[in-house]
Amino acid sequence: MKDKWFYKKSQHFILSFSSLLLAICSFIWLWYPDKAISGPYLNSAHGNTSYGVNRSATGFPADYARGNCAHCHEQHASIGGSEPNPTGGPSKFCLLADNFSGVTSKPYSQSDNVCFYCHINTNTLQSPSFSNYSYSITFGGNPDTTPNNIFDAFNSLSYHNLYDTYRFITGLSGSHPNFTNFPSDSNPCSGCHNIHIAQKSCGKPSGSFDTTKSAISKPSDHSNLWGDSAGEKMSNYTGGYQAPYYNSAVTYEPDGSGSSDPSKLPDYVTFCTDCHNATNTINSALLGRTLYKINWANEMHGGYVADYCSKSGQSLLAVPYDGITKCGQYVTACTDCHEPHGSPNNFLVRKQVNNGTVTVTQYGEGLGPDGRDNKEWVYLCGRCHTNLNAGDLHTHPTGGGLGCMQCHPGGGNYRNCMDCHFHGNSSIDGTPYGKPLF
Amino acid sequence: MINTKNDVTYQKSRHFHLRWVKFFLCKILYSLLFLLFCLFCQNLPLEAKVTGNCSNCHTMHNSQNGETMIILGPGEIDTSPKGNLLRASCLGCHSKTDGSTWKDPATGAPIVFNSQQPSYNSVMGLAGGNFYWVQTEDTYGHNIFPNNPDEILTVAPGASYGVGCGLNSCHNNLYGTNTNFGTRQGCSKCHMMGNSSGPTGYHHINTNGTLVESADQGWYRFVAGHMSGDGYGVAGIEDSDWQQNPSASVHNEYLGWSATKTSAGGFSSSGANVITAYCTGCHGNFHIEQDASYVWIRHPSDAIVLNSGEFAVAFGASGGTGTYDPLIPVARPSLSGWTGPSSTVTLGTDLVMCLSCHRAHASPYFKMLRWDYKSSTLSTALSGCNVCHTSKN
Repeated sequence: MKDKWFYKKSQHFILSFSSLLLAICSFIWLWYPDKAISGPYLNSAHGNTSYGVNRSATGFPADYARGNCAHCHEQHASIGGSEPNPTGGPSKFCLLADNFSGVTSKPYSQSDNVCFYCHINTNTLQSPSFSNYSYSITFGGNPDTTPNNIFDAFNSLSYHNLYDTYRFITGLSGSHPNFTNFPSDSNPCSGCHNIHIAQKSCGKPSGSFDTTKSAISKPSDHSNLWGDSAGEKMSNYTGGYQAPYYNSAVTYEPDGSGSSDPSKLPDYVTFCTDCHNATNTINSALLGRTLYKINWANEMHGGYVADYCSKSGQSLLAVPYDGITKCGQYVTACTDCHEPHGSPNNFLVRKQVNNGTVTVTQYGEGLGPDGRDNKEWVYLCGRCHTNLNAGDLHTHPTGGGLGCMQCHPGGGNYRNCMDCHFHGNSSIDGTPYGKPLF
Repeated sequence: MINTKNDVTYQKSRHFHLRWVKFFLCKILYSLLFLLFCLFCQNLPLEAKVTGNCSNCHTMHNSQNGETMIILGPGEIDTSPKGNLLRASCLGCHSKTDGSTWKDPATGAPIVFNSQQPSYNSVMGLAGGNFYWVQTEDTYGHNIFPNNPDEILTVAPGASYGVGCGLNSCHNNLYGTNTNFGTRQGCSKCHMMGNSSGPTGYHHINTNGTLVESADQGWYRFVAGHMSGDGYGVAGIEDSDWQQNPSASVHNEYLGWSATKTSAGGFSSSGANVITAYCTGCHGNFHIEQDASYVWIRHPSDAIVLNSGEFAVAFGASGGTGTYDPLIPVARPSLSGWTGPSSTVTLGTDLVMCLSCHRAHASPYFKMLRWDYKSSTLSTALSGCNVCHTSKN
């Protein structure tokens, strides 16, 4: 009896389960045909069926599916006997336009970089037009929504120079030990983005944020995304990472949530130091020199134990940084201060940092928030460090060879903060200070 | 008592169930045996040259009991006598007004134009496709119809040869008529070309079963070069049923040759009897695939499918060997000694070619592609690309 009962029940169960499974599979296949079998490209921003590439141009068929290869690649440099807009092909890698013009500096025009044909506001080929806001807008909540596209960002006061980037990643200048994925005709954007896998992680300022997605790939690991999984987040830094405020004193980067969660932010330190580290030589045609080398492990804002957090019982760190209980533990992410593409400030410094506006356009020699000369950097540093304005507690330590004249060479105003406080520096006027000064 | 009754019912039900299973297994066994028999028959060398009585194709006086002997193709009305005492134009023999016939039962001629939608296989056409698709949509194939010419193209895209051959040069279009090498229109602008004054008489050569690689054999599907390409033709192995029912082991084979890719194609440029050289006789500029620094500026054709990166798993490959997919055929660098098709693709050796993506005649899809590249479902649109570009799925 028991066997019969079990036999019948088993049959019934298998039949029901099979039917259910078939129904589920059919539903997924019918309604989500792409999602059911999607791979890295269909999961990418460019291959997304909702917001992926979609060229609208003279001579280009209007009925290719969004995300189709043809929006960016022309297999025969023509469609239907003639080349759709933009014309002038064939172009390398079968692209719709020339990859990079080789122009050495801004102002950039749309034709200087194939990516600018879509990542631009005016005359974009992407339909519908769209915005790519800067980092401080997207992940910092800055209500000032300019620049709102990549092209404008690269035409800002400071920018990640495309020519320098192109020459560095392809090995035409500078030195790095481990970049192998960039042939001589690579697009400079590809140094940080693998466009076939890069994802849209954030729809901010109005959309949502997905910590499992990422738009970036380390130059040394071009075939994989960086920052999309555990082990590639700022939470890797034990002790550590405190997210800045997100346009208010109660919300935090990168998504505007009510608490700081280092596991939400890609490990931008590891990402950026793939190039900007202590060993790579990076030439800057614009600056006419090599960039300062950065040993992040030995920087105050990095791995060095920065234990000068209070004086006379006052915290020298602003909220949300707790200068007392976490002193010596903090690390910062590069993007806490810097934009990746371009900025209206010098050195790609963000327009808004830790819930405050930053204006640094004269390399620190302009007026500070308190109206003093050479105090322009206080706009930035003052977002996290206190007592930097006139009348505040004098925070600079003295003694140990550091006298008044090191900072006040004329006996009056401060010299430019940047004379001492820059990446990689540990000397004052050539004299070793004994510890990093940035 | 109740229990006993239930036991009997149960036993009966079980007995019925077992009988049904036995019946089902027998059916499967018979089906497998039949399938094996079919596969065996498929591999037998079959005749592909025109067969049957001479009168199937020729007529002495174009008259029988006072009636014309001309066989008209769809849309044709000319019943006047034809050259070589033929009873039909190319389409007269190679077309049907239904959608189900793929081979003429009398002559054995493959049907390349069904005036009804082809229904005899899943790709809706033979290996080269079916001209049915270009009747109403010029972007779906090569337009061979003199009374329904191409409304979009007047010159072959990528044309680089045939300058001076006139408006209706073979290199410009297929629907017009020219008299450059005998009277040529439609099919004869591609097939049975030579430096002679008329179409070559390849129909009487049996070419099946072995490698076809010479003029004496009629070249592969009767396609050969002329002028600077004289002496060249296409080499390959012809499937005996024109891929009416292809599989990994039953299909055509094509020769490929990784020649220079910085100049227009054609036989003289390629120097090899390859199908890509033939296609680029009209679409020559499409063969300028690399710039001076050898970066691809057009999609490669007659280029080796690499055994690295995303290509290492192309065609489902493992360890450099994948399974041949008749929907995305590859060319072989050498067919010397081959006696039949291979079911494998060897990465790092075999080549992508024009026919890897396109049908020669016409297909149900935009630009005579082998899959629906214009599908509104992106994964379907990219399905052909993904056979090689495996990470772009």
